[in-house]
Amino acid sequence: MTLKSPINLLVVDDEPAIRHTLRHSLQAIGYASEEAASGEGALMALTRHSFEMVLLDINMPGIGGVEACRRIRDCAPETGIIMITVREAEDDKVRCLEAGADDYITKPFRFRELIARLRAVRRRMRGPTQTGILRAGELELDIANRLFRKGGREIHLSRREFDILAFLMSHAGAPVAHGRLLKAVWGQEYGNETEYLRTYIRMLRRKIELDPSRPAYLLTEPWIGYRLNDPVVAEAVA
Amino acid sequence: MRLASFPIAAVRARAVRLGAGVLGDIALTAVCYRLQLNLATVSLLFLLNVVIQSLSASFYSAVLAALIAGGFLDYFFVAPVLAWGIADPFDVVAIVVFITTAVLIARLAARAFEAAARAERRRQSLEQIYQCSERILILDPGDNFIGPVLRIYREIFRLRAICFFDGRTAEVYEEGPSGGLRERTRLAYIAGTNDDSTVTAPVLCIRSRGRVIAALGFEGLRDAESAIRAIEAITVAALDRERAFRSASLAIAERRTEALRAAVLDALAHELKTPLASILTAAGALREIAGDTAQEELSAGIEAEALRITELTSGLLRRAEMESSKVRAQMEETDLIPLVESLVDRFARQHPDRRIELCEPEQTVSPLIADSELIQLALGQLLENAVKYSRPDTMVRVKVTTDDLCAHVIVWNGGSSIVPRDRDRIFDRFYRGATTEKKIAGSGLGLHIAKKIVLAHHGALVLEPDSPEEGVAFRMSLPIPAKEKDDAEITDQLVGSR
Repeated sequence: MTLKSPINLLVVDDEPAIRHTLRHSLQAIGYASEEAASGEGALMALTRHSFEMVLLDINMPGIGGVEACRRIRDCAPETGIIMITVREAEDDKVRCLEAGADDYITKPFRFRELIARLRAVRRRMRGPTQTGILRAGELELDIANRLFRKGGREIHLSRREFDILAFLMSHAGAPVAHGRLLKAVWGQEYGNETEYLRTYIRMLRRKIELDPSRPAYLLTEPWIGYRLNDPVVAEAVA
Repeated sequence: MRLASFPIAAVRARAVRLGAGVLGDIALTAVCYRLQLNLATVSLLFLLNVVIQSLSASFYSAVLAALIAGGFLDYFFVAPVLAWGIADPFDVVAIVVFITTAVLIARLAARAFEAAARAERRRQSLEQIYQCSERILILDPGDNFIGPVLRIYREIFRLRAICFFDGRTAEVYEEGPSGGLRERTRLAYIAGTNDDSTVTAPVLCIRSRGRVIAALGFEGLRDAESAIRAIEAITVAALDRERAFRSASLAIAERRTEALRAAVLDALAHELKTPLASILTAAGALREIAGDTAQEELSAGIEAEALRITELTSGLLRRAEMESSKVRAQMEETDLIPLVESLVDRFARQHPDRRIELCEPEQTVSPLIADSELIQLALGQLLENAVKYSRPDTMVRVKVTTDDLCAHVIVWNGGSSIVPRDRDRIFDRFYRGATTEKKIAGSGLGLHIAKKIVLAHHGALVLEPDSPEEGVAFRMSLPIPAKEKDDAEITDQLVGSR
C-alpha cells in the first residue's frame, strides 16, 4: 500500500484536529503533506512550494473554500483539487466543479474513499496512457475512428451520444457538471438544457448498461451532473 | 330548639306597633271631642293617623286603627253622640267610606312596602353575587385556588360553613365548623343531584359539559333560590378558568422542555462532529496500514461504529432543525428497495438479538422522487419504534409493495396492538401512549416527524387496522411519478423543487 515516491499534498481545513488527523493518516500510507488553515494560507503555501494535490475544505472563514479553489486553479493549473463538502449542500458541489475542482468528497467519508479519489485524480492528471483510446472497465472508446466497444462487441452510437460518452470517459471517475458537459458537446452558448442530457443519457444507458434502471457505468450525480464510474475507484471503496 | 329561637323581640315589636295605632286613635278622639270639631275634620284626622300607621307600621295595625277609628267616630262624633248607632243614613255612608278608604290606603301602603322590601332583598342578593364574582375573578388561578373561593363565598353570603368536594381529585375543602356538611356534600356528588332537603343548607352539584364534576355544600344560606343559580355559574366559570390556566401552563412547560432538549442535543451534536471526523479518518487509515487480519477487522469495526455515531448525530441535528422549521426536502431520483435494504441491514446489525426481516419484493419499484435521507429518517423511526415497543421474542417484518399510484413500505411488529384511544393520537406532537410513558424513554416526537417527512413527499403514513395476527403495522406510501411523463417534465420537477 505504501507508494514509492512521496507525493506533495496540501491539506486545507480550519479545524486543527482535522488537519492533524488527515496528515497523519495520509502519512501512514505514504503521502507527504503540508497544511494550511484557510484559503489565504493555502495560496501563500502555493507561492512557496508546488503541490501535486490540494485537499480543500469548503467551509472556511475568509475567502472560503470555493473562492480558494478558483484562485488555486488560476495560479496552479496543474494541481489536482479535491474539495471536502457537507452532505446536504448540493449547490456547493456544483460551485466546486465550476470553480475548477477535479472532484469532491462528502463528509462523513471513509478514509478508503478519500484514497481512491486521490488516486483517481492523480491518474487523470497523468493523462491517458494510450493516445486516442479511452478505457473504463469493459468500455473502450476509440476517438480517432469514432468507434465504441463494450466487452469487445461494437455498439453503434449517434454523434452526440459518442461525444457525451467520450467526454465522460476522459474524466472517468470524476463528476462532470451538466453545464460543463453541455458546453463541451453542444457549444459555449449552451448550459441550461439539462433535459437534452437526460434524454441522451437514457439512450446511452439503454445501449450500454446491463440494467438501465440500475446503471453501473453512467451514474447520475444528483443535482450536479453525471459521472462515469471508474472501476478502480469503485473497487477501492467497496 | 323551637322555644329557644322564639322571637320574643318580634312579638313585642308587633304589639308596640298595634298599640301605637290604637293609642293614636284614643289621643285624637280625646282632643277632638274636647275641641268639638266637626265630623269632616275628625274623619280626616283619623285618616291621617291611619296613613301614618301604614307608613311606619304593618298592614294589620293600620287596619286595626281604622276599625277602631270608625268605632270612635260612631260613638263620639256621629249623632247620637256618646251612643252607638247612627241616626242619619248619610252618616252611615260617611263612616263606611271612611273605613273603606282607610283600609284601601293601608293595603296600598303595605303592598308598596312589600315591593320595596323585595326589591331591596333582590338588590342585596345581586350585590352579593357581584362582589363574589369580582373577587373570585381577581384571584390568581394557581395552586390553592379553591380555599380562597370558599372563603369569599362564606364571607359574602355570611355562611356558617361551606364545603367543596372536587370530583376530579376526590379532595375535600372546607371552611367553617365541620359537621354533617362534609358527608352530605360527598353524598350529593355521588348521587349526582342537588340536596334540597334543608333550605338553608343545600348542596349544589356543579356541572360542566353535562357531567357532575364537584359538589358545593352550604350551611346557613339565606335567600337561597336566586343566589344558588348564580353561585353555580360563578363556580363553574372559576373552575373552568383554573383548568384552562393549568393546561396552558403545562403546554408552555412542555414546549420549553422540548426546546431545551433540542438545544442541548443540537449543541452536543455540533461538539461531537469534529472528534468523530478525526476518529473516522484515523480508523480508516489504521485499516489501510493494518498488519494482519485481526488489526484490519478491529479497525474496520472502529470505522463502522464511528460512521454510525456520525450518522446518528447528523440525524439528531436534522431532527432538531426540522422541529424548528418546515421540512426542506431535497428531491432526487431515489431507488426505494436498495434504500430499505440498507436500512433493514443496518438495523439488523444494530440489534443482533432481534429478528428483523425484509420480505422478498414481489415486483420492482420504479424510482421515486424523494429525499433519500429524509425517507431513511422516517423509515428508521418506524423500525426503531417496532423494535422498541415490541417484546424481544417477537419479529419485525418489513415489506415493500407497489401499485399503480404508490410504493408502500409496511413495517410490522408482533406484540400488543395499540389501544383504540391512542390510535388517533400517535402522530401528535409529544404524544406518548399512557401505558408506555412510564416504562420506555422517548420524546413522542419521532412519529410526528416521520409523518411530517412523508407528507412533505405528498405521501401518507398510517397505522394499519388491526389484523387477526396480533401486532402493529405502519404503512408508508410514497407516490410513484407517472411513467408517461416525459423526461422534460421530470427534469422540471427536479429543477423546480431545488
